[in-house]
Amino acid sequence: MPDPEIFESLKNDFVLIAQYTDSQDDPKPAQVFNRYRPEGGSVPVYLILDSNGKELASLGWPSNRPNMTKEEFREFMKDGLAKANAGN
Amino acid sequence: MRHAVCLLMFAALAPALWAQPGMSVEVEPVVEGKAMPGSEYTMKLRLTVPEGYHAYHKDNPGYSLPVKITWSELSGLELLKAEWPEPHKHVDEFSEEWELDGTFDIAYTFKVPDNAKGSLSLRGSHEIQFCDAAGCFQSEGDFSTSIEVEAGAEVEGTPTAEPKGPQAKATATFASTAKPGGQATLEWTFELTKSYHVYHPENPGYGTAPEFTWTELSGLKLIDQKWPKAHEHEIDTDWIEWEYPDKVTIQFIFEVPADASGELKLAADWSAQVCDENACFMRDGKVEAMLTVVSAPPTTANDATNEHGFYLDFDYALQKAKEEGKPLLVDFNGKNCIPCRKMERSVFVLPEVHELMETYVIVSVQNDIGDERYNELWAKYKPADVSGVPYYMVLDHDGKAVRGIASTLPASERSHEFVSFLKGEEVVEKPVNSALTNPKDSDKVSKDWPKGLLPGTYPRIEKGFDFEAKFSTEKIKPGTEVTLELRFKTKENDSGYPYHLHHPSTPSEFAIPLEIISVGKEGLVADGDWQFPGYEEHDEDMFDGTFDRNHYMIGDVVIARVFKVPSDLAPGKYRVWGHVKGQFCDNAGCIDFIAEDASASNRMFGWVATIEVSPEGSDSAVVTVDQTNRTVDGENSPEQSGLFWFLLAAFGAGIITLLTPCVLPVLPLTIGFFVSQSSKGKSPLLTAFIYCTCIVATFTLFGLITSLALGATGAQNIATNGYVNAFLAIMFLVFALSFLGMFELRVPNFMTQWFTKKQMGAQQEGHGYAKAFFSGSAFSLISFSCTGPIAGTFLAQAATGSVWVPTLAMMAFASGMALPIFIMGQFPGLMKKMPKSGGWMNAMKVVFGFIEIGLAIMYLSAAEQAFTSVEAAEIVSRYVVLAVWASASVAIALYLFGVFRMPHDHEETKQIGVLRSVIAVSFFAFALYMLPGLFGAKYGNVLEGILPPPPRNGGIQLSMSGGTKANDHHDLPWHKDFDEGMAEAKALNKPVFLDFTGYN
Repeated sequence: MPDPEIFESLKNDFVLIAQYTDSQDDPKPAQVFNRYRPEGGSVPVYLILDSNGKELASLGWPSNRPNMTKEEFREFMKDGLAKANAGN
Repeated sequence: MRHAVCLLMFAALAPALWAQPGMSVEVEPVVEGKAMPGSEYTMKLRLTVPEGYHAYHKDNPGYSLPVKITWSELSGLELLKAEWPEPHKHVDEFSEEWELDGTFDIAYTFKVPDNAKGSLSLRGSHEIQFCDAAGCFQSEGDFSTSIEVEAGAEVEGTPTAEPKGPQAKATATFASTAKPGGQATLEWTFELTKSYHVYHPENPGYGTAPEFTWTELSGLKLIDQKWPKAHEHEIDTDWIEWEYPDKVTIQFIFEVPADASGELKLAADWSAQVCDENACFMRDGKVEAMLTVVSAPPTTANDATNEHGFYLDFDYALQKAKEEGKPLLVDFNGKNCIPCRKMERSVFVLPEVHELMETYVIVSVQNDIGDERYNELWAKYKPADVSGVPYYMVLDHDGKAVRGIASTLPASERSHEFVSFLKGEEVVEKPVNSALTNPKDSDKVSKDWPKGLLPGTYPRIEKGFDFEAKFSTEKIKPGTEVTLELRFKTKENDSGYPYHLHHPSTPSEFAIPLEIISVGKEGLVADGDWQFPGYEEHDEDMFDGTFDRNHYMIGDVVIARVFKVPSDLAPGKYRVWGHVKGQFCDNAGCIDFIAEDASASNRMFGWVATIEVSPEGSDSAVVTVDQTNRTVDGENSPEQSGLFWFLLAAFGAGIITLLTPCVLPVLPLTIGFFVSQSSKGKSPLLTAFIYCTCIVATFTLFGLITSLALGATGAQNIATNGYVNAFLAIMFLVFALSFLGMFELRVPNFMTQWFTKKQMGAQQEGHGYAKAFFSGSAFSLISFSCTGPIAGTFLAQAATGSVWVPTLAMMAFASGMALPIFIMGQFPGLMKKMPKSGGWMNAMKVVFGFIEIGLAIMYLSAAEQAFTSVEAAEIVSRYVVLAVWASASVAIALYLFGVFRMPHDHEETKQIGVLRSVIAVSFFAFALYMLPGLFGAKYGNVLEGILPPPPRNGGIQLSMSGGTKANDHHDLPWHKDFDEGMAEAKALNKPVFLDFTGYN
């Protein structure tokens, strides 16, 4: 995803957490995933949470295509950020 | 306006949200017309059971629980009767069930009180068991509605005997009996006059909560109280009252003394502030409740079992499992669950199942007999995607879950699956219900698709390959053998890169290899295991400088298994079916075999193959799979086409080498030698041939030595080895300095002298051919100061390829040198056409010298990268390489234009030739072309293949348009620990971006 806009936004506006759900030695990511998992969802899934852990927006991997478009992703980030700002 | 739009959107969204996950029975009150005081009024409850499931009539004589409707508020209405629809009476061998399905109404008739007026509110809840052939689910929920009373019929003048202000009625009861030393829950309910409310104890507003004074506790100890969520009434900004309108039930949890028994009396005084919009009133009263303590339940002994030998006490069974070292089989079922009973009667009684069950300690846990342990166990063990019973689980003797099985099959078809489950064999763990009932997938599920099988390929997978499951023949005789072939024809992605599947031998931990899972077969008997074809080995860059070896299957991939057709098999059609598990990948990523709506744990799709057994069928039709690996050496590697161009370049370099000052002046002598030999009666053809073969052989020998040296260590690793790259960098620098005229590289004198001596000797003895041999070899060695660096350049390039490339490269290079000599040997007249020796020859050396500098810096960069194990060199970075290339090109251009001289240049360049100026301009242009790269621009595939990638930090980072700062996933500060990340988010008050990803 070498998109400067997305990259900068990720870096500056968010605290980033990556959860490797198929990690063999750490059960925590799978537990976190179960807590937020959408119906029938598979990895990778992106979520935006507020600082209390409440879900603000989520983006599942489109199942019929191998890639999501940058626009979809950008929309998702904007949406999440707007909700986060509205909450504060 | 904006609020209205939001509301509209929510209204449109809401049904979609509720209809979404989790199956339940919908209960909707239907109210028509107005009620008349003093008369009867009928309303309906409309129930909708999910398609394929049914609920049960209130008088159901069978096992299943009837629909239960409880009215909690009637506002003075008196329930006279309830009319139920006619059930479908389903009778089978052991029970009669009265089923209700689809949408149906229950009609309730009420007596409306004489003094009723306004609107009467009705509330209630439902508790419904609904089942299909495979399992049962619970649905619970509340409903509410209101009935309007005809205004004109209002009875005037009835004096209100009630005191002024609101009424508050308190009742308290214990929810169940208690054990000594256990806990008891007191349910305390306030019922208030309509439109009045009481307050939550932690109310942030002004209202105060009810107070309780326990006047009699009989030894009970209050340990906790639970208040339901209050209604948040926002009166003004920053003024919120937490209210309970109309009615509230509070739970008080008491600890029962260990020595308690019999009836315990509890009494309390209460007082409460009861308010409406306009005024508040204080109300108080007394409440009493009785708690029955059932001491030491003499009910069932720990080791009690049901009729199928299942223990009923989980903890006892677990203890037993520990003692006996056996695994535990847990049967999560319901007393009123028919599919559970059917499993017991049709599967558990099978001798094979019975035998397998003896290897387990077996325990039954029921969800509808008030067993508290059930809820704990169910919450602890049940997977997220399982919601109904029966559900069978195997736990190890420490109580750790091993595997579980739910199913969408009716009990009568589950014996095979259940035996596999007990044996711990591969079994379709949870055939995905939704995938089979989903219309778009079921299109693909033809009528001969066995139940429980996942759908076949779907769009997501068809992108990557075509799939076919077929026998090697359509018709076969009994008593023969036949091969079942699963054929994957891989496709290419949009940019023409082929998708690949992973061979089961793939050692990588980052790939999911293809796996064939047999699920069922009819008649036929499998002989041997699945045979996989060969694979291609590929090294995949793991983006951190390491490489991971993967075994690709590309093209027409056939996986086969031999099946025996028993000789006593009756003619007819027979099926074999199963699943394929795995993923397919291109150079960008991998796509798992997951159906649109399947759970992520099912990386599978289904297949079925059918064969007709008939006496007219063909004889044995066994096909063997070619299991040889398709790629071993470089000739078949993807670089094959690149190899051709590389060899051509080497050949061309050989020709150019002839024009260097070490070779060209010697040429007339060589040709003269051929002429003299022919005058002596020797064949000029043979002489020239021997001479040239010697040249080729000498250089090929160098190549061969390189090949063998690299072959031992592995050419692949050499290319990324820091020492090798550093060595090459130094070598090129030495070559460069030599070409520029600092010193002359020579083969040691004794070697040339030996060959020269031999050459002279041979001549004296009149052995013309022998002389040709020695002078050919001597030529190679003497010309080394020019040929060596050029040959070395190609050797170094070749070393990064496959093992035999250095040998081939040297052969091509030497052929390029030898061929013109050979031709001129035959036609000495051509010699006159050769360019005249002169200053230009040294100019060529100088040009080569500068080019070698460019090569040296490139290898130096590669060496740094290899030594520091980073993605890109940071000191001798991409930018340094580009800068050196640009400078060297400028130097070449200036030199060719005659701006400066080098040590071996003798004459002043007075006039510049046309060719010379064109070459000079080319180098100048190349220098300019490097310029944007210094500021972050990228080049085409060819150049980027040679250039190092941009450094992460350090080096030049001027960005012109957006810049090219490396910005992939790994450069961002990802938290791997969830809690840590959340803590930081809290501290910074930033939102969290959560990425669920996988190593695979």
